[in-house]
Amino acid sequence: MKADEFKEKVKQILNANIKFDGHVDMVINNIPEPKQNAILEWVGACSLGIERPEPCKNFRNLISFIYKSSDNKIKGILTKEKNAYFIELFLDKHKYYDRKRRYLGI
Amino acid sequence: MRKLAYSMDLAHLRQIKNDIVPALFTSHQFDLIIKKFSGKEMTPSEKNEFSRTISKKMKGILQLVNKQSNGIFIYGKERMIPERLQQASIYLKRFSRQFKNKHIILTGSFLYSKSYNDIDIFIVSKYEKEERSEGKFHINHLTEDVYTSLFFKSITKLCISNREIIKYPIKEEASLDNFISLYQELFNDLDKNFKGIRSTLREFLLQASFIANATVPDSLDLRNEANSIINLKNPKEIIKNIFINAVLIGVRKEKALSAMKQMLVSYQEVIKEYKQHAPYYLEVMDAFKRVISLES
Repeated sequence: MKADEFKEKVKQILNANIKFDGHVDMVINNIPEPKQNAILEWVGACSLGIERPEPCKNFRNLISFIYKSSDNKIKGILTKEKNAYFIELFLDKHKYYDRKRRYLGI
Repeated sequence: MRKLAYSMDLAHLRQIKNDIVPALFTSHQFDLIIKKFSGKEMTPSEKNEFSRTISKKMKGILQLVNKQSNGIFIYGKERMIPERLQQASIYLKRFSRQFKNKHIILTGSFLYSKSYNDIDIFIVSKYEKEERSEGKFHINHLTEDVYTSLFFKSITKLCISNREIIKYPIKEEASLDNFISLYQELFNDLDKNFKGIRSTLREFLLQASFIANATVPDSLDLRNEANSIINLKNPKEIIKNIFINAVLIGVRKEKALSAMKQMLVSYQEVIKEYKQHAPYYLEVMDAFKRVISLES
């Protein structure tokens, strides 16, 4: 699926008009469908509370879920406000993921 | 002079002034070298003097150093597999030709372990570039600020380089926030058995030694220690202990107490919303509680 379709599915799963950060289009357009579906399944698991969030030290009102692909090449961070809505999905390679983690304090 | 221009480090040059003035250069010539490599404008007579005398002398010194080292500088030779060192020297020369005038470092398990995933090549240049794989080589581009990083100090303890590695003091500050983040990430990686766990663990161990003011481990030390921990029945327990020790030894009491208390409050808030994950969170929090208990 194309990146736009993927983003729509993410919004539907989370039932929220979230933002996207990182090179989401590039990541999604360059991975095969099973890997795209694995990310969507993870988003679903976050939404259902199956996945486990971590508190963000630099933003006290936020928590974040971490995604790492099976080959460890794609990393994701789904951010949510505590006791409220999902806010943002970040998808990128390792280097940018590290920067984002440092920014959020996770 | 192109090669010299790229390898000149003014801070180092000033440090060694007493060794080279007047033995190799006069004081006036030394000032001209500084002027030239600071990018300051030179008068026509200074330019003339530089190209006529100084640059020739510098080229000669470079030739002499390269002849003696064959353009290869080896660090931690005693821990390397001799055949690998030979192969690595060939690869280093190849990459030195491919990336002309760049500082190239070959490091990682290829140098000391029979089994290895890839060969790590680090290229120091002015600009950041994407890492990439080229056959068995994993090519990483680093910017010049890496010279004063903890990571660089660790990788260059066991490596081969096409330039002599100058020992700069580490400018990077030991950050308790980053260390806590690494601890959290490592716990999560262990719990989910992520593929990249060894890399996170090595980074955690490196930061732990830095925070505790211990000797910076090289890549072989880190690999051995990480493998030992992963193979334990309960690696989480030893990770908690490493975390607690590093914080107790290296972090000011007030700062440690404040950060640990803050982490406990954050996790308690998360537990309220995600009760189903309470056992995991309580295990992560255990280290924070123990630091508070030992510091209070």
